[in-house]
Amino acid sequence: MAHNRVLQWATFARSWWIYDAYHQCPFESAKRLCIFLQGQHKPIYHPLSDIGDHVVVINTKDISMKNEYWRKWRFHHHTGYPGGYSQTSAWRLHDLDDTKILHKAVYSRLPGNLLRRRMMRRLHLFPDTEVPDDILQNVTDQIRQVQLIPKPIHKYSKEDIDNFPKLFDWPEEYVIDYSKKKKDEDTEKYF
Amino acid sequence: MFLTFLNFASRQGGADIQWKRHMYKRIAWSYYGRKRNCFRLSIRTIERALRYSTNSGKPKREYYNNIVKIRLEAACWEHGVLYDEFLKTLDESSIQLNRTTLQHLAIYEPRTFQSLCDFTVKRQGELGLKAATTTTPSGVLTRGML
Amino acid sequence: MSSSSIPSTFLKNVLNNGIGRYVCQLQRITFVFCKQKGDSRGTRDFIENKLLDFTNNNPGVAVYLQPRNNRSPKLVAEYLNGGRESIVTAKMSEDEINKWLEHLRGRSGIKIARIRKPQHTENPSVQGVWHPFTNKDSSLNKTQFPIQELSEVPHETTTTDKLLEIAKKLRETDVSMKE
Repeated sequence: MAHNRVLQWATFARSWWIYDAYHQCPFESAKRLCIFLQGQHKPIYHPLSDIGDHVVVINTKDISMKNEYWRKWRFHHHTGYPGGYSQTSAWRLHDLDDTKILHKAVYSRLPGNLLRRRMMRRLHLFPDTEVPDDILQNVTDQIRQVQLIPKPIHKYSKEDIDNFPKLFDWPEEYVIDYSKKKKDEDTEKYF
Repeated sequence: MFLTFLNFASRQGGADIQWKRHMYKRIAWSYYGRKRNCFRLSIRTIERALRYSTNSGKPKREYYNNIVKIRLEAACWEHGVLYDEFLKTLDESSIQLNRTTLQHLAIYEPRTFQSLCDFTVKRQGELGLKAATTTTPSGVLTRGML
Repeated sequence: MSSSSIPSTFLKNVLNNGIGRYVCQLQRITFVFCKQKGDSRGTRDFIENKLLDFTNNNPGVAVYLQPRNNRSPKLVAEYLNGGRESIVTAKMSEDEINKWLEHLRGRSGIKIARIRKPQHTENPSVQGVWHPFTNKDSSLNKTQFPIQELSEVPHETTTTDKLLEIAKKLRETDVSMKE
């Protein structure tokens, strides 16, 4: 066919995706984003051909971590000089830079070949929903989130909470929230 | 006494040995340097090359099968079908296409691949208790409908 | 054997020969033989008995006879694409030479090499090659990203939802019973 050279322009065209990281696990998100950065979502995938897409990530400051991960997950760094080792906990790194955790998660997830830096350059991270127009107008599709966004208790109406089925009511002395614990003389006398 | 020519005669060998060396030369013709022409040098490289090509057979197959799998997963994902379900349905409906052909279809004849995916969706809907809830894709006929 | 040492090609034909009409690619054939030696006997017999039949059937092929003393006999075929093939016919019988001649006549002149794939096409795709927008909904062209519907994980009915529904029904029946 005479137009084969032109037809492949469409086949190998780079498209842009947007991903909302609001209340998403950075490690699970990285697993999904790497598929798009490497081009594994295309039937023409080959590890040596550079066919990865651009991914724009918004709301990276609102990522969530399970269990005690904010406190206990540590990121390591070594300068290469003696005594150059340091580790930073996740909450501290997040304080320093809102996009750094997701950046590191994706970087460590990608295969360690020469294409890695080039793929990372196609990952655009933004701490909130403010994205420059020249980036946003390229976007053609959206990547689904990896987990359900939990609904916090203060978003339920009082009616919903009252009507929630329960087998029994807690007795008044039973302490659920320690911050609201009354300092009675009766309770203190046991200790 | 001069006996070197006897050594040469024994080393040179007969016609059979020359044919054997010719056999190795068919492999070594494309090598660089003296290992192209000197038999003693080329035989070392050739044996190593043959050993590599034998040992790399299995990893090579695994590498390509993995690429085919990733491609098919991607192609199925575009139509909202699971890779395992897709292959299983084609197998039980005796649509005899192997994975290499399927990924070839996904790239070069995308509409044919789409029809296979539609068929899978319909067939999956017929199985079990899903039948009542799923919607029917248009233009698909299965044996369950007849 | 390591595959890189053997020359390989893709399946091909000279100018789609045979689609529509067929043009014999063999242009010249040379019989090299000796007039006295025993191993040229089959070739000599062939020239005496069957060569005229071959020339009558194939007027497009130029035939040369080249007697050379004390050389082993051979067939040298030259093709339209410049290819050249030779076959040593020493100690071959008349019929055997006839078979090899037919083989040379039917060849396209392309060198024989390992073929990488059993099939080849100039038009790989009828429906058009896949591209990123082949299977995408065209309504996405007009959407302003990001949007909530495409972002959210699709909500499936959980056991909590079912429990709430049951509780709601129970409450309604309780109310009606009291009334």
